[in-house]
Amino acid sequence: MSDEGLSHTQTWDLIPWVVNGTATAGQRARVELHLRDCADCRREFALQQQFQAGLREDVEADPDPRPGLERLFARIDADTVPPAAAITHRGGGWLPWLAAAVVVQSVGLALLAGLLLGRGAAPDDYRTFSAAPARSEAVIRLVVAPDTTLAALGELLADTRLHIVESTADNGAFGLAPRDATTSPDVAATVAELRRRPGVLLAEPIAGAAGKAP
Amino acid sequence: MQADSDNPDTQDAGAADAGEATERRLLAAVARGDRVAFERLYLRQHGVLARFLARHTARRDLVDDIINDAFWVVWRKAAEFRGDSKVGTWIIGIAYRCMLKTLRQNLPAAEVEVDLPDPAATETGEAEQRELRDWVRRGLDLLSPEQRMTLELAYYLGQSCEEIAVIMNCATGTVKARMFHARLRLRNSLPALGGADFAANPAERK
Ligand SMILES: [Zn+2]
Repeated sequence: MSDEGLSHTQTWDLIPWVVNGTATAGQRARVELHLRDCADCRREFALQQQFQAGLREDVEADPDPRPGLERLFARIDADTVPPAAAITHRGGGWLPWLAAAVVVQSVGLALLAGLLLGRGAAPDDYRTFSAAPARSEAVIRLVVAPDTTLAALGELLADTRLHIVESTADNGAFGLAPRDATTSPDVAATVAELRRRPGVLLAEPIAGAAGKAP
Repeated sequence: MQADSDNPDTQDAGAADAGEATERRLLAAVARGDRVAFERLYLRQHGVLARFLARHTARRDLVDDIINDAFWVVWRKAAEFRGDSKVGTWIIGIAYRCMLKTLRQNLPAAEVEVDLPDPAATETGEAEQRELRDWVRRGLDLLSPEQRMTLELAYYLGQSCEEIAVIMNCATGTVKARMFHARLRLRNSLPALGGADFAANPAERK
């Protein structure tokens, strides 16, 4: 083992990390130097490359992530507890956590519309909406496909007994509330129903601030 | 299997850095209860996690359960991320622990032997690819669960030695030892697998 070159053992240990691309540039260079003169290590290197290729080859089609995500949001909703000092605004019917949660509509929806309609155009500009006026009664955030007709949207809202209480300037995203504000809506079920509809790109409960101090 | 650009390493590294920066912002937003950020993070990670987990159980329902559990933890513990690993590595570590727990609760008896239907063989070279896949599968079967996991984290998910140590909660020396023994077993089993061709140095092939 010299100061300059790597031994077989050192090379052998580094080979997987050179193969998978996580070795440092220095490690890589030293391994390559050794490989030049060592058929044994070259063979091992080739073997590991083949093995990696075979492993990566062995893939199934991507499963649809949406049903799982829906289930997860339902789980999160079920777990969401009212904040200690939830504001009981608007007297009747609203679950306290919903009332506390309707934090950030105008900012949030505009951003959301940009995000979704821009389809990842500027993901690095992504920012969260955390502090904005709390004045909305929307309980569900909805984004529909750009080609959705007004009639289709109307039908969707009629079926789910919702109406639009907010929208972004470009009508890309909507804040929805129950038509009958005196009842407590089953938000999770309604969201699930919306998500089953064609043309719905996103439907989710508005509860971004739930669980946080007001 | 590199892209045929002049300097793939540098480009990959740049893209990876940007991706990591995005994921850190998303995770920070998740820590503040931002569901849109959560959804984006979930969608970014879901495919690779699902495929990775499917390597360990043929049961689609268990894969779904594990991902559900893992992201449940991500949602609740996002604020605890300290940034000493990549976000992806952190999530894989969580998923790994959820997987161990779930698979422990579901006895192997319930496991079906993984025998994925081959996609229609339309292209030339398909037979060779299938042979390679079979060789890899049989090779993996010879390994201990820890050795197998180490190899898959390295080769399938492209995690570094240090990252695997974080995910599997062990010392880097342990990762190296597992990798060493895994490769030894693979190598020793090669003739029996009839896959020696794959191991041969192209220069020595006839
Ligand atoms: Zn050597």
